[in-house]
Amino acid sequence: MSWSLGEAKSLAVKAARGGGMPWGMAEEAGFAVHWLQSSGMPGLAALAAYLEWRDGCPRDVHDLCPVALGTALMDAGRGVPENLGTLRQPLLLAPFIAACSPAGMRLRWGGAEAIVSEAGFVRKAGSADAFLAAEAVCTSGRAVAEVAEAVTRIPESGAQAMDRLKRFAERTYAPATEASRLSGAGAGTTDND
Amino acid sequence: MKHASKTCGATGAAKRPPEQVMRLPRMGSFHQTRLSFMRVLLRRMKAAEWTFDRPVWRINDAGVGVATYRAKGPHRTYTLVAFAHDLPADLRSDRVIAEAWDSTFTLYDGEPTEDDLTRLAAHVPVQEAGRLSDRELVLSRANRSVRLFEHVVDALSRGAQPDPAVIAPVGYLMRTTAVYGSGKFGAADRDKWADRPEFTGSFQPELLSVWLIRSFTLDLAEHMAKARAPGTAVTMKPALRRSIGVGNSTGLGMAPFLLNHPALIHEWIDARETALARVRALETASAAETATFTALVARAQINAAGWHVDHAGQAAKCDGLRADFDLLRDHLGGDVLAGSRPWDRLYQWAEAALSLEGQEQLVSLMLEPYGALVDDLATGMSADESALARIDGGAGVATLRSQIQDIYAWALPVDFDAPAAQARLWYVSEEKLEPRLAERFDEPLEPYEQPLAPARDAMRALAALAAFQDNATVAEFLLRHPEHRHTVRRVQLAVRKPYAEIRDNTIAAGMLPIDLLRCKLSFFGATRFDPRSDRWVRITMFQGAPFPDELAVSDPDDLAYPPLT
Repeated sequence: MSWSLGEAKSLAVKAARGGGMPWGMAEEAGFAVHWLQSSGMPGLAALAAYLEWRDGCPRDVHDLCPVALGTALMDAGRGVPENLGTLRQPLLLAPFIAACSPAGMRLRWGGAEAIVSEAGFVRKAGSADAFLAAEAVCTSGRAVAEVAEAVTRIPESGAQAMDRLKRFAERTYAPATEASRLSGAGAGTTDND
Repeated sequence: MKHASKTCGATGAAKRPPEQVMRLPRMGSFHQTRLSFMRVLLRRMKAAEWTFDRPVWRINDAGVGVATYRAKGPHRTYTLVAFAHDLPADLRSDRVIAEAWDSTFTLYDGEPTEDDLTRLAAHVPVQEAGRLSDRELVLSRANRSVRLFEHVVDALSRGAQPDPAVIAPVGYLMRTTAVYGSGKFGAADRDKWADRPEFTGSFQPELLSVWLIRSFTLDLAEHMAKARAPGTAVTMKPALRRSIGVGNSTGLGMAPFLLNHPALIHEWIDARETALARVRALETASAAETATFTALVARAQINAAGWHVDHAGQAAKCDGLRADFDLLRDHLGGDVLAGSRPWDRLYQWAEAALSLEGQEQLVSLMLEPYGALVDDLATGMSADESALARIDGGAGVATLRSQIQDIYAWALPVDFDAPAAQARLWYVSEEKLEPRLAERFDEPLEPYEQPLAPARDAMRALAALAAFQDNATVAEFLLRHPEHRHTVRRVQLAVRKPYAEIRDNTIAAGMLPIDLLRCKLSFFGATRFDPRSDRWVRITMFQGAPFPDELAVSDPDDLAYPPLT
């Protein structure tokens, strides 16, 4: 069993919204997950972990949010600073750095190192756990783009992360009532004709 | 009403401006055109000499089993896999929440093996509850029109032809209640096939499926007639067969599509408006072009005469259209196409003389004689929406402000605090994960509101922008107001793609979701728009079109309107 990238993106947008992001930011989170998974990186798991941490978190989440920093860097259009500060789930920053520097940029956090560009995400060093570091200081450096492996499906191993995201996505769905069941869709006439 | 026209450089012709085209009542009056996706599909397959056959037919006398329909093009082969079921009447529902259907389908990318058919038999019949793979492009299902299906089987089994008068008011043996594509339920992402020449444009795999489903519905009825009375049963005569299309029943699930795909909608509308502009720019009409047009007006009038619906609003529009046809034919009797810029003059006359239904029907008819001039536009009617439109954060706040004031000019005087202006609320139901519409002030659903009120949200952004100096940037604005990011992206897109945004209030008390459905379905090529309520519509697809075995020897474009006799 596998899932399409479109399903993953659409789930990520809903989950990010259900997890408290405004719609426009949730769309960016969906873009980030799609981009990472297209290079075989666990974007779904990173977003799930980020949303679980953020849920009810007493700290000011904005300063640690990889999507907030990523979109701010893209919007400002002034390049990528060397010191990117401390972030939750730094993996989620990578798609935005690639958008800022399509020709290539090196990213490092914890024990992880990668080259990101418009050609995708290429791992240079670090274990699977390192790439999913919960919180780490993130830095950037110059690099030349490398072509990433192109992945077109979400494998069976993505099921757990998708289930975690579904719990957030469900918060965007309104509970059904008998009234909304009939009036909301506007049906109710016979179809046996 | 007079509108400032914008020019499209290459031809010097005037395109109608978005503030005229993108109003819901006009969008809700669109008719199918030469550029509609069903017609594009049939033209392309005919030109490329596709061949078709039915390799598998394992349907029993009760009408239960599996069949496959193979479509072979110059580069690739596709196969519709059809599962026929025995559905008790009490389970027959067109609602998306149904769990069983008369028939279920998938479009397979290639030729399925027996193992594939076994795998698909476990997943396709349960639809949303199953999982597809990236070898499948489309998932669909259909229910019988109980009355017509039985009438056809009964007549054929007795050796008689079905009664055209019984066929006419229905027009289909089965209606699809969903046609899912592009990565839904595990099917292949659009990226997998988007660059295949046979699928250039929009919704080509979905419509190929529906066209093959049409063959299946006729084959099944003929099969069951023969099973009922092997000694007397006959098949249907070709002309009568062609009068049967595929029905479709569509509700609110489709309505937000136009709002959620602004770049794509721009390409669709822009192609249609460019086609109209090209025709209006013609200096003269030849005798042959005039004759083609005049004959099609008569045929479209027959179509309008037979268009009867229960929905009061649409019934009134149909009456208006019939009256418009009388006016149009009177007008054409005066040799109006003989002078210079005949089509531009005709269109301008129509804007003053005809209803919106009539104006938009005329637009469709004006394109008909000019395939060589406009058909190339079909290739541009798609958009890659997998990447997000990038926000121009360096733009100034003053620029953003004036862009909003321009694109949403109609909304500036609207008081969005007034109940009537925001009476509705779009949400997604927990039960079936489908878009729904609520009365905002009757149901406590605001926390679940979907971003489907772009004008109201643009006015909110405009209010927030008031606190910023003109020399501030969009990036600075969004840093403080991430809640307006969705709106800013839409605004900047609509500056580049002016038909991307609907210029109407999508949450107003009087808003009709069927206007959104009609617009989209007209681009598919649907006919017989039959609203069952303000939110729910039945249509017919491929009615009059050739069947696969007729495509090589017929002109699919000539079959878009009923014959004169």
